[in-house]
Amino acid sequence: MSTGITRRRAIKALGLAGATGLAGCSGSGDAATDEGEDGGSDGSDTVKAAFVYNSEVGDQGWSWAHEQGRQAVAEEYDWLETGHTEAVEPSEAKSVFEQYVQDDYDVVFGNTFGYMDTMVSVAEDSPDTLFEHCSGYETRENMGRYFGRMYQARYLAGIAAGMLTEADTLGYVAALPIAEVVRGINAFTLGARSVNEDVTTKVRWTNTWYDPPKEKEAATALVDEGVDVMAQHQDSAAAVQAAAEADIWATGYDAPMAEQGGDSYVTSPIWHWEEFYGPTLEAIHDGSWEADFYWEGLGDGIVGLSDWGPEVPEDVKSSVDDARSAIESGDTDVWADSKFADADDETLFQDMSSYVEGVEGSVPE
Amino acid sequence: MVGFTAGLLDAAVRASTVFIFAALGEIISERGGVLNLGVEGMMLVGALGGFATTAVTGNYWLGFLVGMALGTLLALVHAFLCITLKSSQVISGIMLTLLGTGLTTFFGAAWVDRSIDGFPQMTLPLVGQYLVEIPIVGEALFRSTAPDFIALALVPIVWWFLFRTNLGLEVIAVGEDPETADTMGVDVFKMRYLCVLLGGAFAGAAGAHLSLAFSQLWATGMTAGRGWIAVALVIFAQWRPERALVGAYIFGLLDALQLRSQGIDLALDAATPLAGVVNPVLELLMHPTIMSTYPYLATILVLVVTVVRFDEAGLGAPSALLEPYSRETD
Amino acid sequence: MNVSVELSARKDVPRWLAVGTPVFTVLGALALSAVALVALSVDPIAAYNTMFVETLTDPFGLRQTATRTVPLVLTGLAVYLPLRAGLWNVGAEGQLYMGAIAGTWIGLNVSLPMVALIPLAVLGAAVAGGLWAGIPGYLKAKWDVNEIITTLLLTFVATQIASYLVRGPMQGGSGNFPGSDLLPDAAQFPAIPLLDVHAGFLVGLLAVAATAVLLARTRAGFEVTFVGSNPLAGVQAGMSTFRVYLFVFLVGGAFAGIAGFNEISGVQERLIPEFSPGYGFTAIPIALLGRNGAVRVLLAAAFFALLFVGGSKLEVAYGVPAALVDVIQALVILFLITAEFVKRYRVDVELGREPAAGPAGEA
Repeated sequence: MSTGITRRRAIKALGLAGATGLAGCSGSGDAATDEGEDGGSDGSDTVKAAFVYNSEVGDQGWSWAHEQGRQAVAEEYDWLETGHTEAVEPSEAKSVFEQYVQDDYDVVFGNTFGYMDTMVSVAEDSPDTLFEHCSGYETRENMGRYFGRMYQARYLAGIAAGMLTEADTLGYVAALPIAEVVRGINAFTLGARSVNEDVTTKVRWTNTWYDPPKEKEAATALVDEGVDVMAQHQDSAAAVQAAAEADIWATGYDAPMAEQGGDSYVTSPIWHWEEFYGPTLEAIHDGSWEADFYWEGLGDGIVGLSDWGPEVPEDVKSSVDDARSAIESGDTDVWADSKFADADDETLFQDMSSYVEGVEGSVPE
Repeated sequence: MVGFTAGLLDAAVRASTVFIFAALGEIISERGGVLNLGVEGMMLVGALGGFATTAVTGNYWLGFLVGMALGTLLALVHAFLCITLKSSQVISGIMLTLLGTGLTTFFGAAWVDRSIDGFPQMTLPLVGQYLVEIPIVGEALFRSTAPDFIALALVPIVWWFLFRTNLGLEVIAVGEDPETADTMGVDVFKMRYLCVLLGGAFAGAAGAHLSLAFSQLWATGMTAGRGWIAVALVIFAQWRPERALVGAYIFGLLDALQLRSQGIDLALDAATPLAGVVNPVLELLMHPTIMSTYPYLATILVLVVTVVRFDEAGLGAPSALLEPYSRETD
Repeated sequence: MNVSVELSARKDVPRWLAVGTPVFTVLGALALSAVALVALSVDPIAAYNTMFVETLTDPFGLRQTATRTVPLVLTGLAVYLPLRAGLWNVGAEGQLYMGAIAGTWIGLNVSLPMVALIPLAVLGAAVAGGLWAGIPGYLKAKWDVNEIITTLLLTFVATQIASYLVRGPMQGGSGNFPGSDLLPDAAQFPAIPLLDVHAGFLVGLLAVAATAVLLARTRAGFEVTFVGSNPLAGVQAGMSTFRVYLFVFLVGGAFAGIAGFNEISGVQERLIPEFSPGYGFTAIPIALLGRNGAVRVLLAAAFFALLFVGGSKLEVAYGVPAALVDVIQALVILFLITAEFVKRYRVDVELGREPAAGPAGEA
């Protein structure tokens, strides 16, 4: 039954397409929103926010974390309507951004570095829409950028790793050799070395943010080379899985990965994006938003550590807690004993392209 | 260094299994005269189907079978289009890859965050425990998952099937000269259907192996072009199963090297003469992205060299490959 | 009870079938895809409404469609021309990437005003794409090496070369991210006034016209068509299959190469890895649908462009993976080739009688 009616209606619909003047039935994608009042498009109070993710939300990692942030704010504010699209490649981002502009969204959040130029381009063409770009360098009058001092959390994870390792060799499955990733590697190593001078970190580059089979293979390669604590900068939990299968300690990233890590799980540096999304959306709502560069850390709560794994010893936990307080109070600066001790924020954010002492090899060109 | 080499070989052997499955299936299909360019799509449905089944039932053997079944199902469409409807094998194959990719991306999003307990590593009964002790290659060759061993076993089986059984000879005949085979009483259509379906089953197995044994997870598009490499491999191996095994190992090694070459430093000491020229060239040749082209380039090389030196027949391709068979003259 | 299926080759194709085929295939594909939508709890009617009706009745949607048509029509022609000569160019995707590389390189490294720079870059892209296709073309022309395999394999080589270049020698911007520098303004296609689509669109239209003229009115075009329908007769008539085969691949590859640069210059603004969502492969059903003329290739390209745009809209509006578009594309091809069969053969199914005693033994 349904096929026949569907076909007939489809023919009718296509036929009507020829006859113009059907703007009335378009409704501009109101079906898109995840939550919000019915037909509330006239309310100047309503803020429509779009979230664009580079990978599937099910990755249990990077995009998952952003999605948690979106869900948190969607629940919190009843004047907020949100929409999201996942697995959008940078090459396809333009049509997605433009679609949201078409659909009268007030703000578009883009969660990957690769969206930067496209977002700038669309932002310049759409001055009435606001944009926020995560992890990038560019801003415009209607486009801000945001990130978190994840390196602080990395440092803490490094302390745990340094205390747990017996082979004094740490493994790091890394995505792309850009400043953000190098920063994480360096901070992790500095943290480990602060408690264990003999530690070295081996890095394997996958050249992709998200490719679980490849991430797993890279982790396996590291295991074969004798690392006994795994770390990663990837969008999925594949490396943690590999570490668990090899029975070595695993730290994750982006999201709690206790399920994949089992007894091998240590902790993960994670994000609490709602700490940024909340205040930003409130500012948009009350009209006080300005393009800015947000880069806060442990103190503000945008980055943190997940719950500890079941087998982590108490002394590790308390050492990390002490270090955490020191960072939050400003007593400890992660970079203090390294070559980046005098670097300013811009250098730290954009230019870091070499390893600190303790990391094997050099950053690929 | 020993750890690195052993690890590299282990990774190479593990990586080769997918190619073995897929290439054996494609050899059977092409020997029967039907080119199957849908391998990539069939592998993906096999991977997702197998993974989903295992996630739900906890039984990876069941998942493996389901993966094979789904690959066969897609192959059935290919067989119907190419053999019964005599459509272009090229288009049908590419269409099925597109369909398989699209369907698995579409339905697979829900399975990305699931995890399973897949095939465990095992050793062969009785002798296994001794064989793994062999230095460097022992672990690589003799500690694997069940599908790895199955794939290896299939190589001589397929060889024997094609070249030593009547059925196999009929397959070859149907791919070489269907008219003559027909007059000698071979049911060309049925044979070709069999070949294509077997090809699909093997491709599904290759995919299921990926998600249930090799990586033990599901990710969109996880085959990452391995299906195409398998198609190339068949040509590289000149439609012979035993050569496909060698080719699979070589391609598997290249696959493994891409990630692990970061651990080797082949650069010549700067003082060595010509180091300035050799080192950048080496770096280029060992670059993972460049290395990933080698299977394709190697295949083209084999193709060209063979055809140019020996003409098309020397290549060993089934003569009736790509030609739909029809009883009447149109 | 007996079921007998008799196949008899048609002598001519009924008009309703010839005209109706594209429509039926599309409708059939949409109907089947509706099943997938229902499986994800999406109302197919609403979804198709968003995909097609909304896109076509809205200037933004039309603009998007026109922009998407550019690479599709050019790659479509890249497959179409060799197809006329009886050959398969399965490698349009790779030729597209080579053209993108060459065009981007010229755009970044040559200093000229836009009036000269863009044509030069387009030319460079055409040469790169043409040469890349020329390799399999030559191999086929001279030694009869199967062009399906060679074009296909070279595609993967090309995408990897592009991937390498944007992470290495051609890497630009700041901070080690894969991608070239931004093309300077002089190398970016301006927007066509009023239409607000980038000027690459005109290049696409030009290519269509050129192909139509080439095939209909030039000697080369005549040879292509002749050799395509009967190579042996062509040889006897003094035509050189070598020249024809090489020619169609060089020109076809050139079109695909231009498509690649058009995309970078008009849409992406810099060379990034994997910028093409498979235009070169979608070109295959486009060339098939448009098999009878370059203008039909354009129409087919526009239809598939609509599919791409609609799919993107669908993803934003319903959270449905845009991969549905791949499924619809595949089903269109499926129904297409089935329709081919129906056009060529009459299928007569008889039930209940004695087995048909016809000479056409069925499969």
